[in-house]
Amino acid sequence: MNSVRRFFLSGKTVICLIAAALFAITLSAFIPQSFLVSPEKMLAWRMAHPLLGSLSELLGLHHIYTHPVFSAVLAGTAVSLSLSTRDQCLAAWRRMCRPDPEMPGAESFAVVGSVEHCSQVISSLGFLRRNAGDGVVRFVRHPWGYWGNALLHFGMVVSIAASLFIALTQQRGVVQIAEGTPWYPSYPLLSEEHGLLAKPLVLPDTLRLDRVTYRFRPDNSVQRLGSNLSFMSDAGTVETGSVEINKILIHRGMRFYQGVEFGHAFFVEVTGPDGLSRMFQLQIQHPEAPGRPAYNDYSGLLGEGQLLRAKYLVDAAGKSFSRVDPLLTLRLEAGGREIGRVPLTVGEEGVIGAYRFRLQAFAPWSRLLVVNLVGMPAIFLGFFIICLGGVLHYFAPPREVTVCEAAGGVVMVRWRAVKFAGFYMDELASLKQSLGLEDNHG
Amino acid sequence: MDKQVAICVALNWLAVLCYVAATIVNVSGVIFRKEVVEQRSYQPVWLGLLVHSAAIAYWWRVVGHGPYMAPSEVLSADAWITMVVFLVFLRIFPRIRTASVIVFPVVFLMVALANFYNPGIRSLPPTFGGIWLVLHICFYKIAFGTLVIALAFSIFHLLKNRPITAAWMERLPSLDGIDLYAYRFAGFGFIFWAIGMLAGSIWAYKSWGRYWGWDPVETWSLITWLLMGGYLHLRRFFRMSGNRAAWFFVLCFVMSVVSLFVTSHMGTSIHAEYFR
Repeated sequence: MNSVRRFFLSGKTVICLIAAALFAITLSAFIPQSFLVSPEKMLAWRMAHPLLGSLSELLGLHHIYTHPVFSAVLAGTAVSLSLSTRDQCLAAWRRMCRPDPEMPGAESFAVVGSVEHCSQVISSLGFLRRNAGDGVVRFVRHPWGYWGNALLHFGMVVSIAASLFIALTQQRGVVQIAEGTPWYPSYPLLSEEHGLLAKPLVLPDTLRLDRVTYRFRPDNSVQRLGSNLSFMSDAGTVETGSVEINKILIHRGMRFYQGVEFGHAFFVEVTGPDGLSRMFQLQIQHPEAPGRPAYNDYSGLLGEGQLLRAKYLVDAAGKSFSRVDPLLTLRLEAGGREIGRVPLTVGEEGVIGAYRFRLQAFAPWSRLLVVNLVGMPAIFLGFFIICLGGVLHYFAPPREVTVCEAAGGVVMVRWRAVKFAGFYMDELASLKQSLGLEDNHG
Repeated sequence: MDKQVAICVALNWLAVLCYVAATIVNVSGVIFRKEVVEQRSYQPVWLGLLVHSAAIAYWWRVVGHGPYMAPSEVLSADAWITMVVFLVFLRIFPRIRTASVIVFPVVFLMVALANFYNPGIRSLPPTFGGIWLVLHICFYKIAFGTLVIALAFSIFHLLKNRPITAAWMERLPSLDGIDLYAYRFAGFGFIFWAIGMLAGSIWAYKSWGRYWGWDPVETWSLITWLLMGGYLHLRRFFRMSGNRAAWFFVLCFVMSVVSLFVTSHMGTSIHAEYFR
């Protein structure tokens, strides 16, 4: 057991763990990760780097953060940090309660006067009197600094543990919904993600987007974006709420965030060559400027090998965002060749090849992020402990002073900084000066 | 608009002029060991800082948000914070005085570089709001300031630890002292970087429900932090010091520059809005 402890606490192990984590994360910065890029982009990358692509396929480098080796590194780091935290806590406690009488590395000097007088002077300089024993009076400045390193590492343990818990139990998904349309709990969420120990996220109630509110600045950038929502339970009760960017809505334990994406959804009736009509909802992101259309492509909507491309202007005249009279243009392609295109306003219809398109209606849509996770307070607590420990460790290393009577009627004063002693030589100089000594150190 | 840009650019150039004058006086004071001259270099520094502050405040009022979007704003604000951090630490630790030889030129170069970017008005996306974002940005800037000071001492160490050194280097602290200051300020930088990263994480969670998204800026920021952690642990466990430590820190500093100024161009994410 002791050898295991020693292994995890050895400097070499710690450096190796840091190096391994560094290597893995750096690798993930160069090799696209499957949870971050679309399958199309991943395929393009593989085509561009055939050798690296096959190597990363073989070694599982496209999912580094869920790789067993990375998990092992993380586990090793957590064990090492935990053991180190324990040892540092014990050391801090020891230093606080049973200070080392030897005070290794202390600077000693003798002053003329009494112990009591020296003690008063030292106290006036901000040193706290701790205890007196064996004729020695002890002082310390920043005693909490003893706990700095322990807290810094403990904070990391808490953060890692909480992150791991969240990664295993979190549920998240995306709802992209048009005004007035419902989203039933049975609908699968977009971009759904859940931890190993969690089930896929399901909305607790039927969700309806009542209204999308948005405002633009004079330069046409989005100033404000929000959604008014209704939650309709099976019992028939309706709860309403609103969500905005930076204003979260919590409903039955689930957190709803307003995404930055929004635009207009077009309800297009398509009559195919077989005479059957189907209704499609085409969601397109809001244009960035009144005169610049926004685009979206729909592959496979009308069948294999057919690509429907759509673009729209908020105002058919392309003059402003305040007047909403959209112009939708549909273009049909097959085999990379354009078959035809048709511009549509509400109520209009047109034909491209064997298809008849009719724009029935339009409505604003917005993207909502739905998150259900437990443990965030622990993450934030870990962050706070890391910051507290770091500040204590780096900004308030303890400085100890002992005063005792020595032979010849003089008082022996010893000073030391627990860490970075060279940095606090000015303090030593001012201590000497306050005690009536000239400082000769340069 | 053109008039507002012209006023801001003119104020920035005036600040650069002050900082350049301060650098010349400061470096000559240090090299020729004229303490009075070196002390006088702080007059143009304070004047430059005043003008620089006015330029930042004026532009803040014009664009309606803090200096953290366009490259010109980011560089100018980073330079300002670096100078303020140096002056604050100088009051606390007077022995870091000679770091001015590196800090002053870094500051004026950053402000000058800021002026070469188009300081057009960049609107703030609606997600860019809240106290956590402000803390996130501030702590990264403060971290950068402390890392510049650590870089200064690392460079001093590399210069002074050669067989033949210039006479002016006698004014620097001893090699051990320089090494210690580099170590200490790297530690300050490490902890400020951590606080910046954690504040950003909280901001992200409050804005879109994800406290860590592995986007390029976040990933490289974590890499930089781990590298600095490696540096600190190597010094602690293996007593790494001297030139090896200095070169290692230079690598850490280069990585921090890449993290702060390059990675936002690497991909599309919320961070891609900044410094573009």
